[in-house]
Amino acid sequence: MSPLLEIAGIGKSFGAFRALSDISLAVEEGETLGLIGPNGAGKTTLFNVVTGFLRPDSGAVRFAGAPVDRLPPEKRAALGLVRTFQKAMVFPALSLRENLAMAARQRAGHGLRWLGARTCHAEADAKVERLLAESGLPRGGGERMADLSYGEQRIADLLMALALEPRLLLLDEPTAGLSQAEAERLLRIVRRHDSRTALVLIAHDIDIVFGHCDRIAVMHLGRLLRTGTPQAVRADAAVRAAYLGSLAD
Amino acid sequence: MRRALLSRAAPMAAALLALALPAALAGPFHLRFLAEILLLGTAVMSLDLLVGSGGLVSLGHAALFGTAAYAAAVAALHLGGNLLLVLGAGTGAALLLAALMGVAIMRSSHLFLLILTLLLGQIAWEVAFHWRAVTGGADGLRGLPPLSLGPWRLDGPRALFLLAGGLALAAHALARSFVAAPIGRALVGAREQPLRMSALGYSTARIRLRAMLAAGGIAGAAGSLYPFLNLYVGPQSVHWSLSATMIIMLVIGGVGSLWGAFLGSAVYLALQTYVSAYTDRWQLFVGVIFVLIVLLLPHGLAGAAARWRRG
Repeated sequence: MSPLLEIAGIGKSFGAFRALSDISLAVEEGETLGLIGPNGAGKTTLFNVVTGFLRPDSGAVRFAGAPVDRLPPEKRAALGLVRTFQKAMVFPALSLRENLAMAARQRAGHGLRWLGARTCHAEADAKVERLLAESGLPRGGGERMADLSYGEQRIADLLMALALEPRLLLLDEPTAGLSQAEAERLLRIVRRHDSRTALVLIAHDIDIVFGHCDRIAVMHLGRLLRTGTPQAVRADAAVRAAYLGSLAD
Repeated sequence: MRRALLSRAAPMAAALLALALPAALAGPFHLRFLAEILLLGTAVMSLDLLVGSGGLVSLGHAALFGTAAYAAAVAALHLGGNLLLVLGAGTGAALLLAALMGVAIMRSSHLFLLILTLLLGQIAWEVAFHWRAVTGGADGLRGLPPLSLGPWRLDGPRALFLLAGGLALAAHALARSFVAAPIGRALVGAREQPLRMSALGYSTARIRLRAMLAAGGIAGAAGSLYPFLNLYVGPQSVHWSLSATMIIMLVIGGVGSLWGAFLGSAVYLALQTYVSAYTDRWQLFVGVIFVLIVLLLPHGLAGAAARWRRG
C-alpha cells in the first residue's frame, strides 16, 4: 500500500535564499511524525508547500496515491489534507460555536448553501456539540472567540481542524505557548478523535515530540537531516550537532 | 416564546404600517418620492450584503442597478410593460453583469477591488452613453409604456409605491436569509480570515461570486422598476457617482444592518429634494451629516436605533 502522503524532491527558493532543497518524505496512515529543527529550518515552508499555500520550484506532492500539485489549498483541504497555523487562526469576532460550525458545514458540503439553511445549521450544531463535549473545554460555545484564553483558542483552532475529519493533520507548533498540561491535553484530543488520522507535528518542545511521535524527521537549513524512530534520532551525531545538542540527554 | 414571536412580528407589523399609512394618506408626489426611496434603498441594501458581510466595497453597484433599469426599459419599449417581463429582463441583465463582475473581483480586495468595480462600472456607463441606437445615449429612453400585470395597469403613484414596497419587503427577507444561511456566514469568514477559510476548504473566490450574484440580483430587481417611476431612464443611473451615493446612503443608514439602507436612502433623498429647493449647495448638508454620522454614530442610524431600543 502506498503511503498517505508522499513528498518527492521538493525545492523552494525565495530569491537567493534556498528555503527547501530536495526534501523527500512519506507519512503512513495513522502515523504520528514529528518535524523538528532550529528556527528557519524550513518546517513551516514545507507545510505551506504540502497544503498548497506555496508553490514549490521543484518536486511533487502525492496525497492518498494521487498528485495534488495543481490543487489550490481549499481543494487539498477537501481531500482531507488539513493544517493549522503557527498562531491560533480563528475568527475572533464570532462565537466559539460559530467558529467550529464554519468548519463542520464545509465538511458536510453545506458551506456555500443558501437554501435549506435550517437543516445545515442543525447538522453542524450537533457536530459542534459533540466536538465541544469531547474536548472537555469548560465553555458553552456562545462566548466570543476573542474572549477565550490563548490556550483555549489553540484548542478551538485544533477542533476546527478536527471538524473537517482530516486524513492527515499538519499541526504547526500547536503546543507553543501552552503549559505542559495544556499541551498534553491538546494532543490527547487529537488522538482520541480518530486513531487513523495521520499526524505531522512541528514542535520545539522535545519532550512532546519524543513522547508522542512514532517517527521523527529533523530539518536543518532547508534540508532533511535524518528521519527515524525517536531512539535512532536521539542517538544520531549529526542531529545532536545541528539541533538537539545536550537537550537529547 | 411569546416574546420571541412578538420581537419577530413587531418589525413586520411596523413595516406593513409604514407602507399602509402613506398608501392611504400621501399624495402623488410623496408616493413617487417614497417609491424612489424604497427602490434605491433596496439597491443600497444589496450593497450592504457585499460591504457589511463581505467587506467588499464596490464602486460599481450603480452599474448593476442601472443596467437592469436599461434592460427593463428596452424590454418594455419593444414588448410592452408586463411587470414579470420587465422584472425578468432587468434582473437577468443585472445577474449577467454581476457574474462578470464576480469573476473579475474573485481574487482582489481593498483598493484593487474598488478600482476594478469602478472601471467595470464605467464600462457599463460608456456603453449606456454611447450606444445611442439602443440606449438613447445622453438623452436616455423616454416614452416607456406603463407597467401592467394581466388586466391591471400599475401606473398610478399608489400602485408604484405599493409595488416598490412589496419588492423592498421581499428583497429584505431574501437578504436576511442570505446573511443567516451558510453562504452568508462564509462571506463573513472570508472577510475576517481568508487564509483560514482556504485551510478549511472554502473557496473565497466562489463565496465572493455568489455574494456578487445575490447582491446583483436584488439590485437588478430594484433597478428594473426604477424607470417606471418617471417613465424615463438616463445614463446617470449607471454612473459611478450613483455608486458613491449608494455607499454614502449605506454609511448614513448603518453598514451591516440591512434595513438601515432604507433609512440612509430616505435621509439622502430627503436632503436632495427638500434642501435643494432652498440652495444649490445641498450636498454640503449631506457632507456635514455624513461626517457627523461617521464620527458620532459609526454604526449609522440603524445602529443608533438598535442601541436605543436595547436601552
